[in-house]
Amino acid sequence: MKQLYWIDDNFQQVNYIAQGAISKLWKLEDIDKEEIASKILIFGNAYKVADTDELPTEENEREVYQKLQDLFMEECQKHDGPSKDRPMYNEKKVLIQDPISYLYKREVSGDLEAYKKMKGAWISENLDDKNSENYEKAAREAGLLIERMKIKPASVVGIDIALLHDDLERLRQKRRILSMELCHQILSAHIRCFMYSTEADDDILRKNWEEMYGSFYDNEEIKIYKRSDLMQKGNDDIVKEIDQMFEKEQKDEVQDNGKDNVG
Amino acid sequence: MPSKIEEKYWKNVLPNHQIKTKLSILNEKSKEISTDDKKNKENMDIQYIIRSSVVWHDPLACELCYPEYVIDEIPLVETDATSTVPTQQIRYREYQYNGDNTIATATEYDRFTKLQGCVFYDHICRRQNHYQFYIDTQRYFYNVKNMVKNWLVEQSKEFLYETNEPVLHIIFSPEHNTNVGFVQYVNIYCFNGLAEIVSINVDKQFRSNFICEHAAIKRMIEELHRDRYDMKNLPVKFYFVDDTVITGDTLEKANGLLHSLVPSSEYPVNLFSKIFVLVDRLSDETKQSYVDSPDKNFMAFLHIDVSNIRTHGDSCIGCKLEQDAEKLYKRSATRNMATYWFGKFKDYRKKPYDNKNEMLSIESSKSYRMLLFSHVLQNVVVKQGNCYTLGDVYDIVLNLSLWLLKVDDYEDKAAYGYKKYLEDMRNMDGVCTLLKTICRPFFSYDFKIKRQVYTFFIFLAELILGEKSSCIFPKNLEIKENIGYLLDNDRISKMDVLAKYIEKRITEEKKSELDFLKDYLLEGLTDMGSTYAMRMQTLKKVYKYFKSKEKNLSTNEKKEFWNSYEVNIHRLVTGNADESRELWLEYMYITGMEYRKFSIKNYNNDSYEPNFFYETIADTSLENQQDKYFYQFCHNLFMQNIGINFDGLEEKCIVQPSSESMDESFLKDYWKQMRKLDSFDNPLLNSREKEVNTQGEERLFILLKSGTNEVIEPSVNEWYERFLKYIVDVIVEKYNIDKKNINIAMLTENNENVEHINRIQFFDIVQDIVNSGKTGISETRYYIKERVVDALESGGLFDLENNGYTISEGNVLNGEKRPYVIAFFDNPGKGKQERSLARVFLYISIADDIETNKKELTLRLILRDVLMYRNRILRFLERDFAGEIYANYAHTIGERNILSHEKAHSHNTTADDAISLEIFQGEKIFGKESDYAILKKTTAAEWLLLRNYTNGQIAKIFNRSFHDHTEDVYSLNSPMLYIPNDSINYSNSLFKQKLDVFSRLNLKNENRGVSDDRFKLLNQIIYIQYDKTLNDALFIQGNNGQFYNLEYFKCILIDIMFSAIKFESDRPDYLLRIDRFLEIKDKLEKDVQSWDINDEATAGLIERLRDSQCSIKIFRDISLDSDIDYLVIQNPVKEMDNSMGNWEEQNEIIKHRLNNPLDYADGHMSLLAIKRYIENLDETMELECSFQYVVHKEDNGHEKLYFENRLPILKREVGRYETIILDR
Repeated sequence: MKQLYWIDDNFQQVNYIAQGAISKLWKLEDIDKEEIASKILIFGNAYKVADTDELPTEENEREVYQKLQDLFMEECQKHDGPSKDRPMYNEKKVLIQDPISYLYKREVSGDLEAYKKMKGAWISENLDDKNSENYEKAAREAGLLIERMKIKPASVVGIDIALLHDDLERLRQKRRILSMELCHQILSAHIRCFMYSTEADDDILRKNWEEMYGSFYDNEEIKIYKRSDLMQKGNDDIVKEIDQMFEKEQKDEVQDNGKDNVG
Repeated sequence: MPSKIEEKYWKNVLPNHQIKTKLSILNEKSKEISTDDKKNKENMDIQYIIRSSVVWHDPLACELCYPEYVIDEIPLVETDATSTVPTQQIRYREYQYNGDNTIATATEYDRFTKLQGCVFYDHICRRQNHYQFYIDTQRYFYNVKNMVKNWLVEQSKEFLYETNEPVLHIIFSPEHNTNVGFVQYVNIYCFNGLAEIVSINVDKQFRSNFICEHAAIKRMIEELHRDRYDMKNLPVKFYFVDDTVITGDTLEKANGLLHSLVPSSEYPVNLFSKIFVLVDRLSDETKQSYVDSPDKNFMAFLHIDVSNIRTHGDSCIGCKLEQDAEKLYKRSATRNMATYWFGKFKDYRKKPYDNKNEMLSIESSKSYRMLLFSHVLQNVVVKQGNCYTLGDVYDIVLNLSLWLLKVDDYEDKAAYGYKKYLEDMRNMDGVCTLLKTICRPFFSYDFKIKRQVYTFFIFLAELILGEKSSCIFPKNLEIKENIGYLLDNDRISKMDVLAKYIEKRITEEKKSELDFLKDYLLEGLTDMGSTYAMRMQTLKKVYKYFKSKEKNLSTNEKKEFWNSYEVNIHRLVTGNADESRELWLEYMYITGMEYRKFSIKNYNNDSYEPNFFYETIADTSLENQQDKYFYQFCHNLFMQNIGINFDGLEEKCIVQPSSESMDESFLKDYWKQMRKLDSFDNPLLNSREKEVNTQGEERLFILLKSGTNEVIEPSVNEWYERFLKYIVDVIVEKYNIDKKNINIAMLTENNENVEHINRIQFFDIVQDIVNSGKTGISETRYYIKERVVDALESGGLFDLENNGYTISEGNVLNGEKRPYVIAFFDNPGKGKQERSLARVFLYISIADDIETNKKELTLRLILRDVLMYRNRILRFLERDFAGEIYANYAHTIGERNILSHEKAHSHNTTADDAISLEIFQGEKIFGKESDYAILKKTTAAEWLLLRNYTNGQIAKIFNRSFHDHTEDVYSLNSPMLYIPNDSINYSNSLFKQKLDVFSRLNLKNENRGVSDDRFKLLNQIIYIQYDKTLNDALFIQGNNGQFYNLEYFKCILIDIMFSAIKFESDRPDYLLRIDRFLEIKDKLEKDVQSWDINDEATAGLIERLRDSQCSIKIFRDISLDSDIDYLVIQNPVKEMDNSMGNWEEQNEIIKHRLNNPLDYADGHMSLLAIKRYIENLDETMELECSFQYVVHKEDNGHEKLYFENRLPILKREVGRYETIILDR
């Protein structure tokens, strides 16, 4: 089973992707097709009206887990029909065994401090100079955050551009933001990565962001998708593109192994 | 030891006492004169004949201005840069002069006392003459007619028959109305009516005309001369008669004219042999120039020793006061102060003597008192020669005061010979007038007198403030040259008695001690320019004294006391020639220490903590608003301190923009120190010399000084845009605050008098620069308006309306919201009714990491930088905001914004329209692999039609709500918003149906015959719940009996239902939501039958599907109005992941949006359209629609979020709610 991660700050929005790309990648139309399991990792506050430090609860996590499970069950129901054995469901239920994780939770001690620290590091000034103390600190925090995500090797990661409050404003001012740093660090660990955003509907904006990313990280290339393309009435080509990323990933891995052998 | 300043000027003296000079001009001259003289060849020396010791003081640390013991203060003689002669009276004491000890006679007293009611004390002008005391001689003449008659008869005996030879008596009198009676009397009683009267207006007469007019007299004079033979004396005698002589100009002109009537060379230069005057205010020396032997020939009925005001040059005291008031008005930073000085400026303006209304407004008894005391003091102090030795004037003031208060032990029985004059003044009014008189010009122009009066006033003030004599003086009083004389003549113990008696009399006469302190002592000292009122110790004492009296004071009295104190300090600091006083005050304000103490204590620190002046003086922190007015006083002191900054900038960018000469100027040094103080650097350290950047400030200064240098004037909008931008630049430059942390807005208050509209809607933002990522621009604008309204209505510690500014207080400073300041501009001095300037507000808020202590002060500094230009800004505002035009324009900008939003026309967003296009272009969407589970193209089209139609109608209602709702709807072709009572409901006229009863809506599509498929469609996905009894509910009618238009109300209801669909769904767009609800319905009706309900997961899923159906609940709810109930429409809200944020916050935003729609031109307008449509049916209705999120507890104990629309539209049924209302 291939593993895909979605990093977002808001379940409501990622739920639209669940109704679109995520459920399409389950490939429930054919029991033999190799499916892609999605795991949604949630943290941040870009979608909130005000800048708050309020963390979601375990109850919130349970609710949205239920939501995903219901979506999955209903999707399977379309193929299983009245069959009481529910072959599709039973075969593929592994896909939603662990579909969601809130990275910082109210009940977990130390989470709030860690969240504030991470956030504080990323909203501070002077992050643009990669040699600055502030950036070093912020990059360290991003590293710690990636550790929390427990991303498996050979998976693909999609990251929402705006994760923290005012991220879009920072982008407008051409300042470094957290999501891009996450993307960079994940890519550096040889894991495929793409980004997406609701605001990426504006082609010029999207292009600017892609260029900006290159300027921050030594011309590294990044693909940014529109969120609407990943939704129910979205663009199936993009879903295919994501699917193909896994194949590339495998090839890369083979090549890397080969190199190791040579070495 | 030479002082620091002196050191710079000291030179080594050569052994032969020759001092080197730098004056090269002297060297040049001497070269020419004596080239051979070796010694003088390079003449570098000056020899001084008189040696005089001179001591220079640093103005800020001057021991004479700011002595350790306040009583030790010596007056500062003011000069200005261009004059070396200060306004100073210096008296020469004659050798063996014993003083004029003549005591006023009873006759003099009788004549003087008749002046009551004829004296006007003000700034009065009569032709080119200005008066401080104007005497209405006409009225006076009528008061003393008989006395004048007797006096004239008496006089005539002495001179009329000096010779037996025939003499022609010619009386010359200037032609004006105030001397007519007196001239006639002189003729009748002095000359037995035989004199010839020549009366002309000398100002307007040509000599030739004069000669022609008086040709008969000229001929007669010629005749007399022809027949003269050997007469000893000249046959014609001239007399000048007038009510009073001021400058003597008329007299001289008259002399000139009369010379043309007499043969030349025979008459003396001065023709007049006698002068008759009713009231004489001239000195003996002046008279000498008008007539020979004035004691014999200058005949005055009444002599007053109060000179006429000098009118030449700038010597009129009234004019000087007027100019000072104007300057202080221009330099007023607070509205209160500006209003005060504008009032004073108006008061001090010269009043023409023939303007009856103005003259009548002058208090005559006070005028008389002032004249009396001026006369008496002039006699006692100057004429009796009591102005030469220190202590003499002191004794006069002290003894007279004691006498006036009837203190037996010390009573000087004779009152320096003026007992009779002053007999009626023996009360507090008398003492007060004495004090007022002695500290004013011309007494205060005499340095020696002033010095003693200083000491007297300070001593008395200290005693009144509760200080003990022993603490007021230094121990070594006897060696103090300045005040040592106090030890003689029992002066100290007498002062103690005086202070006690003053307190006693004040209580007896039911006057206010605080008023005495404020109006006579502090104001008197301020008149004289004493620093006493601004000293730290004085402020502390006055505050303590105020606290001890506070119990008995009304709010107004408290306010007035501090206001007037503030005025005194403003005058002391800004209206004084000593520029350093502002800096001295700034030191005290910001560091909490007087300059000298600060310099010693903090010399080693390069930065310091600012100080809270209020706390320093009151020795406590402000816990409640008890000391509101004192708190305001402290703030106002600071706000007022703008002179050095203003002058510094003016010098830099107007006077000498490029020259470096300012480096040398003292002003720059003061300015530099001031700037350092304000940035919390120790100004006494030179080590951290920072390069000061003042470009932004200069730009703002020039913009406000002279507009712009551009050829094309910027438009009004551009000008204000620039104005705000420059202010932001100044804040960035001066206080290092990031641009994005500054919000600034300029608002006006619209004067529309619509009562039921929330006040916030009267405010419009003219220009703003808002940087608010977190709250959003609309919300920020709302907060700005809300804060202004709040500051106007609740007041708080600051009084925006009166002081013209407000500063956010503690809770905001420490909280999350940005601290702010608001300045308020309008026409001071003009009443609210006649204001010609719309009210304008300037709002600035900052967010920064400055620590609270400094943040509060920084805010005040920012505000002060703006208020420094109060007067200038007003000038521009008066130009642009005269009347309501610009204010109304600002209002329309908001309306235009909101109406130009695309949603105001169709109420569909572009994203919404894109979905409609799926019908025409979405082949794939409705194709084989449809994205919809249920929706087919035709049903989708129906749903879209319903939405688009409804949105269109809501947009129409919305647009029409911006027009005057009283417009004559009949004249329009559009359907009526409300249906008149008398119109008939025809079923085919869809837009003319009345909404009278709830069942007419047919929400469940049950009523046959009036079927409406819109509700059939909606019922497919929405479970609409309501109690059947609601069907009979009646709707309210407007005050003319009109009903809501059924069709429009249906649209409103459908709009609410669309919102419910959105709230209850987790799908991203309209059709997907409809599709999902249809799918759920379909599943529950069909598929579920085949599902395994024994499977726990499946059973749970079914349960959750049921829960996620769309539903709304409609019910009636009670309101506070006894005739109206609410119709409540409630729907659950899907809230996942708390993404909604805090619903209470959302409620606030909805409220703000509806209160202040103009700043929320973001398309969310249906609530506003609904609100306006519902509420506009009846203008008098006080109930409002409300839209809000509420939380209800479910049966299972879980809390569930709902959205609730409450519309006040149902008629209350008889009997319903009666018990509830009774319970309440």
